[in-house]
Amino acid sequence: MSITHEEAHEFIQLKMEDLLDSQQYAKLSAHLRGCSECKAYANEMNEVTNLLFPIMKRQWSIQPVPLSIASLVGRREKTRTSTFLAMRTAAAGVMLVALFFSAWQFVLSGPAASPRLPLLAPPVPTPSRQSAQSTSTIIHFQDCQTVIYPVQKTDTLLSIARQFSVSKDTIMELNRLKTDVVSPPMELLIPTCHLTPTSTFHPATFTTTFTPLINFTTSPPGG
Amino acid sequence: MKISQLSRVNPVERMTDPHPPRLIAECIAGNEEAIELLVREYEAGVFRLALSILGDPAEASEVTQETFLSALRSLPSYQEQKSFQAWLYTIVLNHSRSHLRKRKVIERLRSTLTTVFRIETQKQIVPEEAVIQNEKEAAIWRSLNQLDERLRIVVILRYFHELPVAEISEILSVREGTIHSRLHTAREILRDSLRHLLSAHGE
Repeated sequence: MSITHEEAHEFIQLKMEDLLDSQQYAKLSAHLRGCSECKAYANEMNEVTNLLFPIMKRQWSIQPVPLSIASLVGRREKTRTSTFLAMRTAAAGVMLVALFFSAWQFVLSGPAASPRLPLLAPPVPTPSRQSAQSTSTIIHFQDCQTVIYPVQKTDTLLSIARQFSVSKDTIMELNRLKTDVVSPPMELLIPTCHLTPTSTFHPATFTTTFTPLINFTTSPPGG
Repeated sequence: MKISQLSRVNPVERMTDPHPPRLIAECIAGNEEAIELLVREYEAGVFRLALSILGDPAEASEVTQETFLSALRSLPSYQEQKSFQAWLYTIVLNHSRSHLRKRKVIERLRSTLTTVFRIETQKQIVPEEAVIQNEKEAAIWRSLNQLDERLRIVVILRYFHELPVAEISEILSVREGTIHSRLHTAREILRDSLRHLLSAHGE
């Protein structure tokens, strides 16, 4: 029993996902032997899929900058950069608000008003693209659980405390240590907590250039 | 729970055993070495997926960071219902989509500035670095980017990330039959864009 063209098209589609069983495959082959239109359909489908991968590969095969593990586990890195970023974000926000205000004022006051030149504010500074490393994240802790950590030869209590983002005193208290000298084969109880990050929002990068609604002429106002 | 120092095993050797449950347990406990192993294994794939949705490497980097932060945070709730990669890719998609939504807000702001206040804003356009080698590729590329988001994502997962339909189904939480029919529709739309080209030149 031969298949219709529609069924053939459906089989061709199924074949692209290797979902044809042997019976369907046989029926399709039989149909294609006598149907040039369906053969053309199959070729078109193959052509489309063959074109896709090379284009996408060319577009999207950038190697990413490896993530900083330190920033993932809560160690604040490069505070200077994050403050700087925050300042620039704030500055950009203020500029935008100022821009709205002046534009609004300008629209309202109309051409008769003497040109106060507030609109020639400098363009909004464009926050440049930051790599993943300098994204600042604030980590909040919750869901703490205690783990047992075997002290390594090169560890100091301070380095362990830093590693787990807890205070030295917390460890000393929890383990009832009299001094901060630790060495193998000591095992310390460390409270570790899960991370709840809130990341900062980066505004999109766009520059604004201003075209005033009214052209300023060089003649004196009112003249 | 005892953490024993992760033995200095050749990292490559470790990778052939996909996710010994210990690796995940170690990550949950905050073991930085384990976290690093996990991140290094998946960050390229995560980045590529984000990039293929957002088109912008800087945003893709942000999404990569956000993804791993979220993943580490919700690692305890990964119960192996899906493959780890599928679980992780779902997170990537969620973050990418929220970036796309933010983009729309900013776009609307920009067009408000332009139309209401008649202030010209000029978006920094990320130049397309790919060399489109011929008109067919140009037509397909354009058509791909104009596809409905649901169709576009299945095409990308299937033909760029080369994932099987079963895995795509896990990532998107959508029935395999639906995935298949979306692929079917997408392929015909892409084919139509080529037809246009042929008919334009055929005369």
